[in-house]
Amino acid sequence: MTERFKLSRRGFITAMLGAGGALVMGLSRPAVAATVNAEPWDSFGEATSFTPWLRMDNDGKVTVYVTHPDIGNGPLTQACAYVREELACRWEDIRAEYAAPERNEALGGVYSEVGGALAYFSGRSTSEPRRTAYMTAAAGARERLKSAAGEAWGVASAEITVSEGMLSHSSGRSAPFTEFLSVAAAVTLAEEPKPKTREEWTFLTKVDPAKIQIPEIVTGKAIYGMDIRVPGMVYAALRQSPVMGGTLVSYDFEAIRHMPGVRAVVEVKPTEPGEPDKMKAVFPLGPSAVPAAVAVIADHYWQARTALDALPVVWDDGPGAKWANTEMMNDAAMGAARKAGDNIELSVGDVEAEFKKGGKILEAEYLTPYCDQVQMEPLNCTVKVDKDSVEVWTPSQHTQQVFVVTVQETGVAPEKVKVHQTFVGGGFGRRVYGDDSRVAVAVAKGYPGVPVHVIWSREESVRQGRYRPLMGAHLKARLGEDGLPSALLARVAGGPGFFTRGLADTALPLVLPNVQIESSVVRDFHIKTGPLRGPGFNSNCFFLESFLDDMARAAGEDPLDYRIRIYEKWEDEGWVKILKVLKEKSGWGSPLPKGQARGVAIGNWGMGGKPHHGTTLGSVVHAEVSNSGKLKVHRIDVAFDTGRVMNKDAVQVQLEGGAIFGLNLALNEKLNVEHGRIVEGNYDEYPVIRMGDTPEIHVHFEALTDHERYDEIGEPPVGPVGPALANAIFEITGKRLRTQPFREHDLSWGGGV
Amino acid sequence: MAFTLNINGTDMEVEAAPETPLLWALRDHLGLTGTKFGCGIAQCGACTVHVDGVAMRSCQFPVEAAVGSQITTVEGLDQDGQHVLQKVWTEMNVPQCGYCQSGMLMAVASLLNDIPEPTDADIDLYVDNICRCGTYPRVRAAIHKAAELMKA
Amino acid sequence: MKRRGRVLGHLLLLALVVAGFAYWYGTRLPSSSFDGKVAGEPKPVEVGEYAARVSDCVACHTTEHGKPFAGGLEMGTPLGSIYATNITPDREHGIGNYSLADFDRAVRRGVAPDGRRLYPAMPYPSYAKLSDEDIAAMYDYFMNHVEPVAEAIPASNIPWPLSARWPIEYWNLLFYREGTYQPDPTKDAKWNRGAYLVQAGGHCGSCHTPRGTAMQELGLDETDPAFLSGALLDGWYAPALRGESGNGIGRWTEDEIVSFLKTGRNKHAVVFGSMMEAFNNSTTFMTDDDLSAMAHYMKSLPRDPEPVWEYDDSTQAIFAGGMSAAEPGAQLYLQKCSHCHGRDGKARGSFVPPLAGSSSLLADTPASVINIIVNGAGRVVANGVPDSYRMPPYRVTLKDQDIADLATFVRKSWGNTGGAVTVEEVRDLRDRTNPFSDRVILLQMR
Ligand code: FES
Ligand code: FES
Repeated sequence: MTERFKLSRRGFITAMLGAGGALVMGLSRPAVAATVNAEPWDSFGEATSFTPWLRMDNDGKVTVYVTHPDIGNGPLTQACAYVREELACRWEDIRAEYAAPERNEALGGVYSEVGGALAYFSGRSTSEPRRTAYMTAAAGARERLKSAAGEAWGVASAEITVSEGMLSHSSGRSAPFTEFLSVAAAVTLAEEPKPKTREEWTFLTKVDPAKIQIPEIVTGKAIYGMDIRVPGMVYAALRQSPVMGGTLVSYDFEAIRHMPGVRAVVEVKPTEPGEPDKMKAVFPLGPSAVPAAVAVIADHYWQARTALDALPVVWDDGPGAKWANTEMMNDAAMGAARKAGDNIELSVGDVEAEFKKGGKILEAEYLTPYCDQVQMEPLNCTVKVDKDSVEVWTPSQHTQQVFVVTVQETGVAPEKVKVHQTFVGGGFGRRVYGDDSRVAVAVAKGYPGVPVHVIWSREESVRQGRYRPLMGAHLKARLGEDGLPSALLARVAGGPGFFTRGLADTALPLVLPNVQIESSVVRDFHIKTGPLRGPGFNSNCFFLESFLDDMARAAGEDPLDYRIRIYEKWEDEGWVKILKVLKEKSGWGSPLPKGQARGVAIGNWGMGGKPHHGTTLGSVVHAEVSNSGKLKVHRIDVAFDTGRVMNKDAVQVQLEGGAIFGLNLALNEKLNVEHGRIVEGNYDEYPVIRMGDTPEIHVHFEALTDHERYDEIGEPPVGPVGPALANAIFEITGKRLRTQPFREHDLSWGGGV
Repeated sequence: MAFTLNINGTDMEVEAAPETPLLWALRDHLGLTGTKFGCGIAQCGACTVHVDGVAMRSCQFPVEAAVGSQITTVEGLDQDGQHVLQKVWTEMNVPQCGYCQSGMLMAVASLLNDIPEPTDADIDLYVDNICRCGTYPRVRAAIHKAAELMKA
Repeated sequence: MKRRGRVLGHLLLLALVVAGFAYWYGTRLPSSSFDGKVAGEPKPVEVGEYAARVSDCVACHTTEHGKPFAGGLEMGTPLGSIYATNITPDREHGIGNYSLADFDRAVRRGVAPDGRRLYPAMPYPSYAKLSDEDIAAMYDYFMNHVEPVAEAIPASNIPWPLSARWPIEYWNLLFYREGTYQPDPTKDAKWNRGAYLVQAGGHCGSCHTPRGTAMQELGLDETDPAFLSGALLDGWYAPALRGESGNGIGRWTEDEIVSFLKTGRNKHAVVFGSMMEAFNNSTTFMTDDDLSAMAHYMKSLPRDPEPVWEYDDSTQAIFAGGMSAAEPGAQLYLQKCSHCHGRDGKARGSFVPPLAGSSSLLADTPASVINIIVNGAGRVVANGVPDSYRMPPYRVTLKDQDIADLATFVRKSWGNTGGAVTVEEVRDLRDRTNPFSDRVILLQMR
């Protein structure tokens, strides 16, 4: 490491100053096609950036280094927008490139120190620390350019204005940024400029740029993990133990050796990852453990895949095989939810005493099944393992996690591990653990010296998931004299790795006088789980908000007004505001033909028990159920409060997508288990909403409270849309759907069309 | 076996087994990675290409059957992104992760070839591709916009 | 009263005698040409394995994830489920204690060593024609080359008295014909070899010959015009295999039949349904000469004249222009099917089969088309390699009405002559092919 990089350890500001005269702009790499590290990052050691966040080249192109992979949610664009706000360059001149985790490592966490916990290399781009980092860097660059120009023109730099990549002065002098790049690089400012305040913004929140990578997407040039082509690359088709936790007994390479293109079979042995020395993984490493697997290596993927299908393999299924079918697992989860929980998540007042009073007592059980993210790009990763170095190309959701996993799996020194982040064909939580990359590294270890492109078939992707956990819930409530709940008991249970988020830390239990929330883990479930868009929330919101609807009906009240009465007690006014906006905009209460109805639900993603945190979102779903039980969803209204929004159009797009995701989860998604294996493998058995099934979606911004936060937007709709639909279906059919997916229920009913 | 395929107006040689799906011939043998692999069983549409102007799913299209036909991939729409669909897609911020969008665009292009001014019902029938990100409302709006622009 | 009682007594006695005789008759051990003979020295594995392949023993006597020949495959019948037996040489659970004559009686006569009659789900009326040589070869294979598996099969759940087996002998009396295949001296060796394979080991008639009210095949050889004239079984329509016609398989040449049986596909069709199982387990392993003999024999069978199928290209016009007003079946075809099968309904190489002129779409019964839309096709395994062009199941993603519309459309397009399909037919087949249903298809023969 050079002195320069050591100096920058204390953060980007020092990095800039410390570099001093060595900061030369615009010399280094030729411009590569926009955003992607498809080309191996030649060497960050030679990079000549302003700071780790930003670089300008002599052709006027501005490169922004982005830490968090864009999975379709737009962080690349948002990072560029911050830079554009301060630097006032031309939007067309900005490109984004992924920041390299090895650089982060070498510079002592220069990227990951910003933004705290999960926020680095993942999550949303609108957190304050990230914004400040980009904006400070860009403002520093701007001031240096102004200073250089002021010097050359003999005017005060404060009199110089910047716009669209040009520096100008009232004297009529003007020049493009590029003219002063090298001089600016040598400028030392007395003080780094502060980022503009919100009132001063001219680009942020004023212009809603579309995602900057779209031109590459629509020409087919965008390089996803699947599209990596490295010289000398071979392909591997992968099969892991069909029952999770099983082991490999034998395989017969001779049976396929003769097949065209086939080079080798690599066997992967299960490992138990510990913590790597000194490196802190972001997500737990346990779920990234390598399973028993075989991979066929061939010249082309199709050859590898065909040979893998023909390869005789014998597995020992292990203990997971005892789960003969899904019902057995459902029963185990429900059984656990019926008993007192292992953990007390929240305990207020005395629910049992309250129940003893009698009166209106409601009790119900709910269940949500295992579901897969089924992101469109099947899992894949390309790895080249050499004696003392490793290079990885990955469509990950967390580049740094892959870096740590790779260091650990290979034992190669961190400075010899390079991880290239590619475009990502959907994440939804599936690509955070790095298990996909780790198994690819393990395969490449068995075929060293050559880049190995490991591809999971769709079936492999679906059957070897990190699923939305199977969760059962037992709920009990008592209504007080005012019709509102006076006590709530909730017990949830699921397999290891399930999430309670959105159950105890949300507004409903927090406004009630008597609440008991408990959870239990069913330890012998062998199926691996993980985050799926709105983890925990996407089950818990369904439980609570369906149950709340039962309460409203038991109280004889309008479900929406009933919720207003409850959430008026909560100190975050966003909840009531959302409900009122929905009431007004969705046509709530206006008459509908027989067989149609609206349902409502509300929840918050990310509040963690605190007001004015996370994103609150409410939804009204307008559905129709025919006499014979055919369901059609006509319209979804969404109102939300995430404080403020940075890019309105980006938010709108995410909410539309999230609403569709939540709808599908509730309506269609379920994985079945048979003798321990996952049954469904592809979209034929695991249905996904298509164009023709998509309802009208109306996103309402009027409920924003202007509270000072820009919170997450991808997950929030996934909670309430499902229960809102269930509530509408109840209104029509009188049938209360207590398990997902709804398509499994017979919705036929007596009246209507 | 060697096959000559006409792709985006150019004859290209592919050395592959006759049953190799066109998808993999395009991606692995010819390096045209714009056409995506999503499911491999003709359910998602990510691999949609045009065979003689009609949308087909290349993952279930054997390379031997592609000989003698005009194949168009997303790379053949317009390399510089000047095709009206590409422009509208960019302006209207249609793609999210973008992985399904090559197939989406090819399905839409085929639709507009057949029906210059499609109704919503036409769109539902012709564009049955899966987008897990849920870009459907945008895709629909963009199709109508593109149809309007193409009429003008 | 007394008198009446005496008559009743006599009657009862008579009934007992008759029943006793009937029982004795139905449980006695018939003779075998191997009685008193001992099996010779073990032969090379190929000899018996080939005979076992031709007879496709594995198809019924192995479950999907089970060990070869360990039995256990469930077959639904109207009375309850029966399970294919373990035919590995395990002494306790399998056929390890069988003598050659015992084996022969089971295979060619449908009688177990203890005199129990086998259900005719075992195609012994066809196997009856197997030569002594093939029987001995198979016995050698099972005894000397198959791994014994010490696994019991589940007990049949047919309740007594319906579970009694001896009455089956009376079925045999009516429908079973003893005697190995006798060559027809007026025909050449190839024809006779083909006839032998088709009628005996191949037991093609089990699926392709229509059955009578007692489930008996209506013809066991070419002397009966019903033989191989097409039948419905297992929820699949097995088309006519006879001779030349302008329709379906009748249009195939001998070479095309051979390639179908060898590779699982030709330009007209790809194996699916029960035929896929017969292909994967049996015909793909047969020699070209044998397949060619079978094709030759089938082509020689006379066939009633039928209308000639001709491609009708007017169907394609439906897809030009707006589809909003088109019939639902055409809409669904465009949406779900056209991306592989093409708007023209023609084949894509020999991998995606044509719908135009396909025998299942010309047939009177729509079973095959409904079944394959609902349940999809399994994977065709030729040369040990599963191919990946397979029809996906639409059980989950399409409703009964959709499938009826779709099936109706493909059965009347491109010149196809199948009739309309009703939603009831779809519902019924969906239900009866649902593995969780208690109304499964009768006698799952493969
Ligand atoms: S990859 Fe071809 S349709 Fe999905
Ligand atoms: S944009 Fe991500 S799958 Fe469609």
